[in-house]
Amino acid sequence: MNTTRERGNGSIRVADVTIAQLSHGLYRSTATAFKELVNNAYDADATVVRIDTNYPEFDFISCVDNGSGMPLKEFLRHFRDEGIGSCIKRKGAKDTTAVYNRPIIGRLGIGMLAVGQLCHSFEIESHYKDDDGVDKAFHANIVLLEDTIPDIEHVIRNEELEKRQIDVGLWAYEEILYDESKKGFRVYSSDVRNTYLDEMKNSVDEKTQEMLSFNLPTLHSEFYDQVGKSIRECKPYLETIWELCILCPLPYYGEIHEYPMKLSLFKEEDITDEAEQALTMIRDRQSSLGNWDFCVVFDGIDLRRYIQFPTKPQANPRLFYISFDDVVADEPLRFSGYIFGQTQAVTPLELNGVQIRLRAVGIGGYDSTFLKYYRQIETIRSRWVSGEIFVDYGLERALNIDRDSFNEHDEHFKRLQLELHKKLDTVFNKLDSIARAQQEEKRNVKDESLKGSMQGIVAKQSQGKFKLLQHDLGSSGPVVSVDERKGEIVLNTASRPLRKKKADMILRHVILAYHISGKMAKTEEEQYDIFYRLIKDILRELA
Amino acid sequence: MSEPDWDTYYCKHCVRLYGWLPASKEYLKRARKANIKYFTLPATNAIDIFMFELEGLLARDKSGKLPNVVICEEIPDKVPEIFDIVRPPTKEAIIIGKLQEILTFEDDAYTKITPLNAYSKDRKKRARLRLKRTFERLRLFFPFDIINFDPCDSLLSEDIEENKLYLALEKVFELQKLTADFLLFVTIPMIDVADSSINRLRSDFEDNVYKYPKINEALLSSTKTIDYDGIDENKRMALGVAKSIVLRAARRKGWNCEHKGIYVYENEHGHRILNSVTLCTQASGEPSESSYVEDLVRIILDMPKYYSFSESSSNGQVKDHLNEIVGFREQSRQNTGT
Repeated sequence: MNTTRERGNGSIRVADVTIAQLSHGLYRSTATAFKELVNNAYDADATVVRIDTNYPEFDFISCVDNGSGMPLKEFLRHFRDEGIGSCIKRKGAKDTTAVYNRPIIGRLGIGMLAVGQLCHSFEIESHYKDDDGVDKAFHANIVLLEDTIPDIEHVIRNEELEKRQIDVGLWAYEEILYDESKKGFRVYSSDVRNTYLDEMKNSVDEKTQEMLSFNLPTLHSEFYDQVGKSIRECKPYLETIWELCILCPLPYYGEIHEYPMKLSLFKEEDITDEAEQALTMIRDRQSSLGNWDFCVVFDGIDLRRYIQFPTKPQANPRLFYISFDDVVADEPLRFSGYIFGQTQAVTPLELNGVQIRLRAVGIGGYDSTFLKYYRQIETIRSRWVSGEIFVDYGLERALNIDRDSFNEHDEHFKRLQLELHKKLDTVFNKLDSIARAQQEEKRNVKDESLKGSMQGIVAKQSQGKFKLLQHDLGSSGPVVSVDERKGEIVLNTASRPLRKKKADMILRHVILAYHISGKMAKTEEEQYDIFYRLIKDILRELA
Repeated sequence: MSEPDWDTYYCKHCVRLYGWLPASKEYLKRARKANIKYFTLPATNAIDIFMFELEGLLARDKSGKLPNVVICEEIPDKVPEIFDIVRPPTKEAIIIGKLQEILTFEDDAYTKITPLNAYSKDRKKRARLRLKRTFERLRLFFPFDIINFDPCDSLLSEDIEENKLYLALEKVFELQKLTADFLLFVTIPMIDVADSSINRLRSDFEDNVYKYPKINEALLSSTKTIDYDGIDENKRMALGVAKSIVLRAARRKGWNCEHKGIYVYENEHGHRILNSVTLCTQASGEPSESSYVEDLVRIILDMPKYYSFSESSSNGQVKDHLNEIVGFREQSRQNTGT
């Protein structure tokens, strides 16, 4: 019989100090921090959310929406009673917003902390109707106390700290008079972090300031026309705007037949049934976003998802459709999307890859690894593809706390990855065949043109005595055959002694030059001259 | 107190239309400049900025932005509204903070030796550095052609010797030294005037009456009295503000002044507000005594002009002009995508 040793069980808890680390900064970039504020406004049924940075000084941040506001009791739950992250947005069966029926984005209620990544302290003001429909308003000051949050390295080495409750900040509020013109929620701060301020300010030099237009199409043409390859060339301020455009739950810019697919650049026969399915899905989603009546204005710029494919004319555009609807790991998973491919690199680089959009919000940017699709990842063709996958149900468990990346070992994520990779096999096979056919066509055209040039060279150097022909004389036949009587020189296209296409072609032409010079010259010196001229002309054509 | 609806505040617009605009056009013509460089503390509707643009005193650059306009706003909560109305098209960032705090900034031991972009965990130190940074930024914008000194606080709410706003006004004259002349609009609400301010206005008035016979004569001719309390309150205040505040600050810093107009207007609650429009010219040596007296005599004889709330509301010219500006502003916002 085994001797019973000590046993135990219980729930797993997370130390306060670990949670407190979140307030240090959770978000990858300035845009992802702003995105959280936008998401909160979206969930509050706002129709407009305005973010201003006091460009070009960046010493002030404000985010103002006209949504339903945050009730004081909600504020107190976050700041006094339960702590940041005690979100009730989706309590019960609530899954969509009350007014516009938008899918609710927030889950935890930590979005407000996002602003803490950009400033040391901030103020909030909320003008709202309480549960009884009475107009209410409050104003609050929030100061983040970075010096009370122990450094994680320090915590690891200090046993005492793990048990300590951590205050991440101070707050104070007062009720104020309701102002209808301020209905909604606003966050603002002059206490911005120098890291943010310096980064932004340094990215807007005088030249950029002169050029920068606060008009979306003009601004985007700057991104797409003037930027060589990558949005990063625009530097952080413009990059933030661009990133926000693709992350926020916004419609595409412009007319549906122009954005995101410029249909006039597709051949009619390439709008297949599958492409039609993708286009219908895009139209439906655009229409839903329109019904949700939401816009984000950043420094006066009305943001839109400014995406347009193909990125260049004559790029052999193809459109593919992906969809999935099934139960995975006891939970439904439903998504659909499009994969666009062309035979040129997608520009800017940041549009290359696939973006997963969960509840209309971009989770991170475009993943150029296509969720780790190993088959094509290092080839040039992987740069030809861009896609968006819209997840309508499921996958949320896989979402990491920053809402910018996924836990790759989640069942839903794995399934989405699998389905995507299956589709990519088709996409890349198709693009591969288009590219090969295109290459073949190009080669044929080139060969024909080369043939013509060589005939000209031979005619010229042989003073019309010989005519150049190209025939298959068999692999064991001579490389070049000369028929003086008929005045014909035949290149044997089947002769491949070197087994390398280009090298064999050069060899054939060298032998051709040898024969012509031999037949035309009377002296050795003359033969050398003719040979030299021929080789020079031939190599100029072949190079 | 809630803010008025600036888009229909016709009484205030009388001052813009009959005071600021002609004086500004005259200044521009005299200075032979195409456009003005303008400092303002606008309300959220920024009527003054769009009026100057509509009237051609301000012009946009190629990118559609409005250069040479510097805005200061002290209430952070109002900044988003100003962004909403004005940004774009102004080119410069808004100066955020209390004007008197910014302009009267003096280095302390910490700010003197600390780089402007340094980080401190101490909020107060961060705030001091931020204030210094804001002051340095504002300082670099000087000089302006027109300064619209219209802060939320009052120059009369406490005695000027202790009033930071007055010190800020003096600083304005100091920072304007790089220009020969400029136009100054000063707005002062005539409510909550401190007793100490009234006493100062009164004693300065009496000094002038006894010291300068021309002022004495002008008063008798215009008001039939040299008794401070016997003079109409609007004229008394106009004279007091000009003498004890604007002229005092200007002369201390070496400027001569010519008041182009002083206006008293009402808000919807019946409270009166005083606004002066002054052309300030840098004195070559000590400010001229005679020009000082002449200016005060002019004020006694011709100023202030009074605009009542109800009469202004029925002034078709004023209404049409303000409506035109509001329409122009909205059109401008549409054009810039906001």
